Order: sequence, then structure tokens, then C-alpha cells
Amino acid sequence: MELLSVAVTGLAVGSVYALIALAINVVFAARRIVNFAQGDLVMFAGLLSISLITAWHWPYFLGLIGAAVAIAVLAVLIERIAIRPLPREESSISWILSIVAVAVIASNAGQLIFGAETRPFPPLFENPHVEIGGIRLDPSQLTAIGATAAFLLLFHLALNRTLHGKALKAAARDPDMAMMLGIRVSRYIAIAFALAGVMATLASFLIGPLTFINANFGFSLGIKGFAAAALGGLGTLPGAVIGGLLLGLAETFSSTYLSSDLKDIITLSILYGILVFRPTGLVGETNIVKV
Amino acid sequence: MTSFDPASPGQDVGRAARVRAMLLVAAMAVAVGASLMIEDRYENYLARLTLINIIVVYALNILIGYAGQAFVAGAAIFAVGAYGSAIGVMHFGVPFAIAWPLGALLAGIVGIVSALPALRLAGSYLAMVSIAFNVVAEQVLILGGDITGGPVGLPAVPPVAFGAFTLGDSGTLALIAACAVLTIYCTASLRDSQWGRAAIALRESELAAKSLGIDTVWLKMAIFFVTSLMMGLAGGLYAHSTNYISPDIGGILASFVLVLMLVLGGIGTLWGPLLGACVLTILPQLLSSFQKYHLLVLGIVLLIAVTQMPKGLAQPQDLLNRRRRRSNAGPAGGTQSASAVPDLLVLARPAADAGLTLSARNIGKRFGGVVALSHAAVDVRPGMIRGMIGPNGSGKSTLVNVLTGFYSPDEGTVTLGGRDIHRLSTSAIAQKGIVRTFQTPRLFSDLTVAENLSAGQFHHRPGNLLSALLGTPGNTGVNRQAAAESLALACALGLGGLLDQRAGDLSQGNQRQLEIARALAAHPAILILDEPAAGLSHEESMNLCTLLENLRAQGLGILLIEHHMDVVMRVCDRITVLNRGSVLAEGTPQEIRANAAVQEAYLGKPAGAPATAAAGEA
Repeated sequence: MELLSVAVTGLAVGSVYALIALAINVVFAARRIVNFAQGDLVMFAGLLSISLITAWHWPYFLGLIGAAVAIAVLAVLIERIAIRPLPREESSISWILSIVAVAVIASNAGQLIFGAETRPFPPLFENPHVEIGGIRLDPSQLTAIGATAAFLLLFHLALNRTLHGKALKAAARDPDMAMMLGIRVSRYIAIAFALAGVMATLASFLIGPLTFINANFGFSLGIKGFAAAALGGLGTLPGAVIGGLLLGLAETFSSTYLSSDLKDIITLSILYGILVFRPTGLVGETNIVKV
Repeated sequence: MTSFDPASPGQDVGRAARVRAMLLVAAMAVAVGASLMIEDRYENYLARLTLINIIVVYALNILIGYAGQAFVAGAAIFAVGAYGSAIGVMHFGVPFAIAWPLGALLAGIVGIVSALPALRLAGSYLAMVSIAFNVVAEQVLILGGDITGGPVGLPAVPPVAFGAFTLGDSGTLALIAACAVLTIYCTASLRDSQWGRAAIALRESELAAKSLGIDTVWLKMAIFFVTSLMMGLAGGLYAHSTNYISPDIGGILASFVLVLMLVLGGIGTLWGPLLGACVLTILPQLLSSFQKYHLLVLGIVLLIAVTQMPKGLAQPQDLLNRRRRRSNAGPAGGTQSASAVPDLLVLARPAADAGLTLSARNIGKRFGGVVALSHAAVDVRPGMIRGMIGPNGSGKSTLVNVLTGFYSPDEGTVTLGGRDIHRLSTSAIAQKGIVRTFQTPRLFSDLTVAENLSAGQFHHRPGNLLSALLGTPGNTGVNRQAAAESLALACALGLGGLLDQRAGDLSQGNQRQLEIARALAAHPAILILDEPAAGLSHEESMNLCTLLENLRAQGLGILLIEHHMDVVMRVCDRITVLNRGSVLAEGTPQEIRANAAVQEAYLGKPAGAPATAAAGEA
């Protein structure tokens, strides 16, 4: 039974990674950059909602919605200031430096604004355990899995069944063509960043009860998100899910059965190994040469 | 390069190398002398730190600035060198003089290994993988137990010593200063070598580099190894001069600061790294009371540097250099005419490789459900111009991509001189003699015309990496040979007056001519031209025809994809017509002109009246 509860923990953590990976993928699809400041957005969202709910005494869900709006605006601002002035060539390394700068600024600003101490997320459930079929499970974990699944389904439908979703896909696939068809590509890039902000808030709400949040955890979370996205295949929806879950499981199992010190080394080594043999990830497109 | 004198190259080369060696020795003497004069202990420490950062940032400049490899984990590689050397001395009792280079060697190997996943893909993947690698490296140092000293690190690393002779603070500083001068010298020397030009070619267009036979995987590995070695040497110097190392020196934050030095100073420039390393090592030390805001400020500076001044602080310096280069362009400027046909003899491939027939049979290629090619075939013999025409979307470009190894065919075979080549990589195919141009020119925009042509010769005239770094007479000789061939090629294509122009600044017509010249620089047996006449004036098109006829006369096989029917009909010996991915017709220009099926494909079904031979004007 222990195996099962470890698996559920892994899936819960993995769901959050999948969410972060999805946000990275949405931005990647729209602008061909890997936003590993996404982890810092999650950190900001978490600390902001904690402050709104506990210090400002906002109702729980109002606090979350307020944080989601604020972080979406922040993400759009980041795009405006740090990404839009850069050339659109994929090979250029300037975007990486720009995002590194954003990540460094974010984690230090987070420390100045919210302090360096670790803060717990206000619990959503009174009871820390539920029993299902004789197995004790953490309801927060089940929430993380369920909410992520629901969000992914919603996202999938919105992307494929609505006009805005299709426009977003078109802008991602062929920005020049989309522009000629009257799609305002720069607006959809901004929308992609705003979406990433909303997803960051959802991720912080889900991961908050599972772990603690402080100003420094954004960076490693961003790396995990990237690892999940790259593991599955950058820019794909199923890739984010597969990569996220795989990473969460690998991390939880290795910290339970080996050593929690080793979990980062193990998960990132898995990423390395897969990228050596399949550079485009597990479900990424294999033919990427454009001549 | 500009004072090329075929009469006495050897003598000239020797003198240039002697002058350079003297300059190097003089600069080293000045650096060593200056460091021996610093007596204050803190100043000595600051100088050591600055010079070590200079070495690392110059190495990163070669890797990121010249070769365009977005490798962020510089500090991790540096730490491997530092820990490697310190552990060698402290745990294994190896003397510094051996542990130091061994640690650097280890750094070089780790550098290659860390880049392995990204050898096949560039850009974002490499950046992210290197960040992940840096996180792992830092963890390993922290978890290394007694060997690495854990989170605390290794205190009391023995000082720099050779045998029984221990260098004091001043002596160590002098050694570091000499190494820093040597690093700058090597960077300058590399920049003006075949390896340096190939590295920049890699940055400017990896696809074009491959199409010219540059083995990009090996090139990347070589660059990663050399630059990691340099960073590792700097790490060893740091460990033994500071006498204390901790995992922080290899942390991701330290890596970011190194990259910031590079960006702030001016990425890809010769003096930018010096400026960036000095400013960002000394300034934070002076402003140490702002410790709390240090990183925040660094982040903001980096953001402004990247978005607002992409060329860095060294930009005016760079502009100056360029102007100087242009003003003494010398004999290359303007005096050459396009009629230098005898020079074309240079282009002939060595006899052993010439005379190969390219033959593609039964080629099929699908993209998902779309059939791009089915049962396509084409052959090109030496001394023949094969035209390939067809409506848009008929599969011409896909076929070229299959022939040159950019795509692997789902069915069929491609042979060159009877040997299968369709499993080879693009660069291997180009080395065997099939070189192409692109529909939209893919020049190495930031290199000059002459440098583009020299980069095109890299696969058969690479020179030696070590002598490129050291700027030996051998390297100067290779440079001279490459420049001579570049000059001949440029003249043959009417670019003789533009040798020192930046390729990206050329007109459309000149860009196409340069791309053809660059392809010829790679010594092809078969030349594939993808719409070379697009955007050319009538006169330029006619010059192109003359050039193609001359090349044919020398035994080159040419595959010409072109929409301009006057060009196709004038120069081609045989023409293949593709339609919907298969061969619609094949024959002489006259036969193709008269072919009813071809007319239909181009002009649609004739409405009642039988069509005349108008297809040629389509």
C-alpha cells in the first residue's frame, strides 16, 4: 500500500509540474522561447495569495482570483519589457539572458517584498487525511491531480473548439501567415503570457499545500517545469502531461527509496539521458529541420 | 590578408609571425611587470580575481559570442577545474604543476559531456540543458562528502607551487596575468583563422555550414573542449591562489554573473570581455555595502543590457575596428574585373574526386499524410547542366533536400559515383562533393565576403586548431592560401571589389553570387543551385549563364532549379520536369519545350486550340 501512496504523491507533484510545463509550452509555441521564469511566477502567485488571504483577510477564492489577475498582468509586463524588444530569431541567445535577468530580478524582488522566510499555504481542507478503500490519502494531492486534469481538458477544448484558440494556434504555427490573415500576432503572444500567469497561480494553489513556498523556490521549480516540458517535447500538450507526471514520479520514488538529496540529480540526469537519444523529447516532432 | 603577395608568401608569413610573437612577449612582460609592482594585499587579491574572470569570460566569448552556443554553465566548468586541481593536490598528493592541467583536462571532458544532448540541436535546448547541468554540478559538489568538502568546500588549498618553489602573492598574480594575456592573444588569433571563421559560420547559419561540408558536431565538440579547458585552467588558478573553494563558485548564480560580464562588455567582440570582466569584478567589490541589492541590480543591468544595448559597452570600439579594416582594404578594392576567368582553374576539384555522377532513383518522401515525392528520379553527370523545373509545390526543393541529406528519403536510393550516400549526414555528403545553395541565401551575414569564402573552404582547408589558437606561421600560411582562393572566387563571380564588405549588407544579386562562390569554395563535384537567378537583373542572369557554362567546361556537374525559362533553356543540357512529386518529363530543352504534358502542367489544359511551344515562357 505504501507503493500506492507514493505513486499518488508522485502523480500530485507531477500534475503541478505538468501545469508549469504546459505554461512553458504555451509561451514556447507563441514566441519560441523557454520561459523558465515561470517558476518565479508560481512563487510570486503563491506568496501574493498567501498575503491576500492571511494578512489582508480576503476570502480564499477571491484571494486566488486576485492573485491570478495580478500575475497575469505581471506576465504580460514581462513580455512587454523583456521579450518584445528582442529579435525574433530562434538561434539568438539574447532571450535566454533576458529571461535569466527576469528570473534573478523576480527572486530578489520577491525576497524584498515578501521576506525570505518560508511560508505555509493556508490549508483548503480541515482534515489532512481521507481514507479511500482502506488507503489514507492526502486530499490536497487528490485536488492537485483532479484540478490539473480538469484544467488540461478545459484548455484542450478551448484551444481546439474556439476561434480564439484556433487563432492562438495559427499565430504559433506560422506567425507571418497568421499576420497576413489579420490575426494580431503580438496580441496573442501577450495572451499566451497572460495564460501562463493564470496557470502559475493555479500551480501555486495546488503545490502550496504539498510543500512550502519561499522566494527562492521559483528557480528550481522553473527548471523542473522546463525539464518536464523538454522530457515530453517542447511545445506539445501531451508532452507536458507525460513529462510532468514522469518527472513527479521519478522524483518521489527516488526521494522515498534512495535519498531526497539525490532527487534533483536523478531527475535531471533522466532529462539528460533522454535528450541525448531523443533531442525533441518523448512525443516531440522528430523532423524539425526547416530548409 | 589584404597584402597578399604570391611572389614571396613564405618570407612574408615568417615576418608577420615574428612581429606577433614579439608583441605577445612584450604584452606579457608588461603584465608581469605591472603585477609584481602591486604590493597591497587587497589590491593583489582584486587583480587576481579580475584577471581570472577575464580568462573565463574570454573563453565564454569564443563559445557563446563566436560559435553562438548558448552555454550558460561557465561557472560549473570553472569549478570542475578548481576542484579537480585542488583535490588532486590535497587528496592524491599530485604536485600543482600536474594537478592543474589535469583538472583543466577534466573540465574539458565535462564540458563536452555536458553539451552532448545539444550537439544535434541548438539554441534553446542547449541553454536549458546547460542550466540543468549547472544545477546538477552544484548539487554534486555539495553532496560530495569528504572529497569535495560538502557545502563548506575545501579550505586551505595549497598555494601555487612548482616543485619546491612556492610562488608568493606577487608571483601568482604574475602567472595569472601572463595567462590572461595569452588568453586574449589566443582569442584574437583564433578569430582570424579558419577555425574562428568556421565557428562564426556555425553561429550565423548551422544549416549553411553543414551544406559546405563543415562537420558541425566535431566543430562544436572541439570548441567546447578548448573553451572548457581554458575555463578549467582559470579554475585551477583560482583554487590555488585564493586557497579556499566552495560550491558557490560553481553555482548557477556565478554562471549568470559571468554571462552578464560578457553581455555587458560586448558579446562577440575582442575587447568587450575585458571591459565587462573588469567592471563587474571591481564595481561590486567597491559597492559591497549594497550587498542586499547586489543581485537585484545585476539582474536589472542584465535586462537593460540585453534589451537596450545588444552590442554591449564595447560597441564603439567595434565600430572603430570595422572602419579601420575597410579603409586599408588595399589591392582587393575595385581593381578586379569579372573577367578573371583563368582564376576559375583554381576551382577544379582534385582529379581523384572529379567525374562523379549523382544519381537518385525511385525517391519517395512523405510528411505525415502529404506525399511530397513519389518515384522521383534525377541524375547529374560531370560536365553537364541538368535543369529541374516544375510548378510550385512540385517537390523540387524537397528533392534537393533529399539529395543533400537534409531529409532522408522514405524510399529509393541516392548514389554518388556508384556509392550510396542517402544515409550520410549533410556535411559528409558535402565533403564527398555535393554542395548546394539555398532558395533564400543563407550567408554568414556578419562575416565579410572574403571570410564567407574562406569559411566555405574549411572542410578541405581547416588548418590546425592549436596553431590557429597560437597564431603560428603555419596558421598564417593557411590564412594566406584561403585568402588567395577567396580572392580568385570573388573575382570570378564579380565580387572582387566587395571583399571586405559585410555579407549581410550586400545587394540581393550580390548575395546570390556570393552564395554560389561560397559553394564553389567547398570544391564541389556536383553543384546544386536552388533558384540562383531569382531577383537578378537580366544582365546578371546572363552573367550567371556564362559562369555556369564555364563551370561545366571544367567538368563540374550542375543541377539547376530555376523558374527563369530563358536561363534554363539557354544553359541546360537536359531538363527534368517534376509535377506533384514525380517526374512528368525528361529530355533536352527542345523536347521539353514541345512536350504537351509539360505545357498542360504549367499553363493548364489548352482550351480547344492545340498549344504552341509557348511553355518555355511560362
